[in-house]
Amino acid sequence: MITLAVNSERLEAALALAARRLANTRPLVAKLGKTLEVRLRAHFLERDREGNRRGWPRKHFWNREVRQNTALVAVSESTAVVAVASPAFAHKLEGGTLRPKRGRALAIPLTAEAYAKGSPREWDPADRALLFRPKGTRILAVPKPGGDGFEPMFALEGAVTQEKDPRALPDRTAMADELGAVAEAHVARQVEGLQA
Amino acid sequence: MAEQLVSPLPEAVRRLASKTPVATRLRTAEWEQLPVAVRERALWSAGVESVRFLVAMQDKLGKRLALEQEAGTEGRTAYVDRGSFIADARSVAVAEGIGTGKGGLTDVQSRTRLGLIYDFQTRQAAEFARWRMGADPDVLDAYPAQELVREEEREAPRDWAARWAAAGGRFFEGRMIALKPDPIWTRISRFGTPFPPYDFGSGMGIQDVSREEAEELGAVAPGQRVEGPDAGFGDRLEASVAELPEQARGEFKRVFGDRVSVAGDSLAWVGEKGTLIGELWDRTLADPGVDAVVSLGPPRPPVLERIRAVIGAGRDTEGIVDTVSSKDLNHIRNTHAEGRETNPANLPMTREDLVRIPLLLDKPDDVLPGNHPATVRLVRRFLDGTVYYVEAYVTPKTSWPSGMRKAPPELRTKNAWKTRPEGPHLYVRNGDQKNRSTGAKESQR
Repeated sequence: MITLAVNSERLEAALALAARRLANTRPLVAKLGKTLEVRLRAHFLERDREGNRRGWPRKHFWNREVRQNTALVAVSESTAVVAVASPAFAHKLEGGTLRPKRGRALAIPLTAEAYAKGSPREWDPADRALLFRPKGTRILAVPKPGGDGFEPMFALEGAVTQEKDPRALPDRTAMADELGAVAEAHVARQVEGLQA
Repeated sequence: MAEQLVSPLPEAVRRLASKTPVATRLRTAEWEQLPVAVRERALWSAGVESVRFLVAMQDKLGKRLALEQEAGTEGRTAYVDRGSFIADARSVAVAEGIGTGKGGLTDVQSRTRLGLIYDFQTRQAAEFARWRMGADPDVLDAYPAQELVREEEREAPRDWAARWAAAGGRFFEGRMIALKPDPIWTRISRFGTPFPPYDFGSGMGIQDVSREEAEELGAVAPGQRVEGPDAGFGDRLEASVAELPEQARGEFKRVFGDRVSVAGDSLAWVGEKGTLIGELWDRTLADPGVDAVVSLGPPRPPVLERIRAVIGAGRDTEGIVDTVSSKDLNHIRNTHAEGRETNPANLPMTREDLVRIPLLLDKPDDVLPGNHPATVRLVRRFLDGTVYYVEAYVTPKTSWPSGMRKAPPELRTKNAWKTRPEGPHLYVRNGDQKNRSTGAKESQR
């Protein structure tokens, strides 16, 4: 489980002010939590629209795996929790070495077709029956049409290291400042309402 | 303060876990005819009659949503992802002998079909979790509206603006925006749910709209308090099952018990109240001398309003609850059951008919005066044309022996019967001349 606090001086100051001025802070915390969810989902959608770096068929990782699994899940007087229910996102966030968990090797797609069809285990049986490992290689390939040679589909690797993605999240200081502005506006409106 | 976690969405996990696998050969179009209440509680896949496959599917999807790891090779553990779901579900399908292995959407072994199941189920569960949290009063006040937006491009996109307009949706500066509880969300949905996905393979989704923006656009009035969405999705609770095979009818009864009532050509979702009546009926049948009363909770406010209008101000209905007693069930059986019913306009009452009494109490078409003072007659026509009647008596408040408290009044079901679909003049609607409702009165025992 990964926990990231979203804080900035502005947000802290706004919350301290809210604690002093508001009898009930839950509506504010709920608003901040939801705003964080909205902000994150907007960021993930932007990432999704960048498309696939290699120009391969889109799988919409950022929308389907990350954005659609992002939600505000709890609100109290002092804390809002936004969860991203995606282990794959955690890996993007932190980076690290991937090792095979369900087989002896990781199958890294080498072609758009292989990428689109997913891991070899996902392939429909008729397609999968064509996959073979040419002798002396660390690839999975399919025979070329006409039976002359083969076309590499996957590279077989014992481990793959991925760098962390620095843009997995929006800029956290900017995000916290944005939340601080929301909190300031909320407190101002509430105080104004009380004085009216 | 506000924080983000890589952790499960608990409501999504609970939603999937609460579903019951229903194995029938029904195709998607047939499932779509059923009440949303039934579909929402069922885990199914078109044409799949293997419970084992559905259970395995639910288990894998549940692990994915809960972010639980499962055993991999060489003592390692792994999260469930789309690929492992497809591979493992296919193995079960092959072992169960379902699917053709030929590929395509109709083949339950295919990557296309299994991928669709994974995408649909995981997305619907996650969107449900967001929808539930969005109904929290503080969250709803901060973000009272949402916008229908395109999330992913499609080669042949559907005309959602036309669909939105046809469903009665309004446009704000060209944007498809509505308050979260607005029924537009279930109207545009092929699945009858207010949250996405709204159709198979759809690239559409929703984006929250803040109070400030919604007020600026005129989607909500300044300071307007927005009530939470209907947890029942404004569901119709009944479906015609004239085309439903016997096997499927039996499967629904097996899975949902008396929470559904299948009578004639209609299937109705009754919920837990149906179970209470079913149990009371069984007890009464086993021992006709049993003296028991079950409470079905307070009447729905709009129904109570109509009851008050019928019986007048003479009865105090504060704290009233719907009740059914074993004695009254005995009476119904003795007068309207098979072999006892003597009115040719009526059909014999069965257990399945009695189980749907709560539907008449909760959602009657009409509330008419009964034959006696302080009685009302609740009437509902079901989709197969059969008209059901419940005659109920509003009991007065009674003092407890101590004299300190009063028992709440009851809307006590005294009698129930049903008339044939083709029966003439079965009942008249409120506002018509009462003396024209001869058919209804004649059909009463």
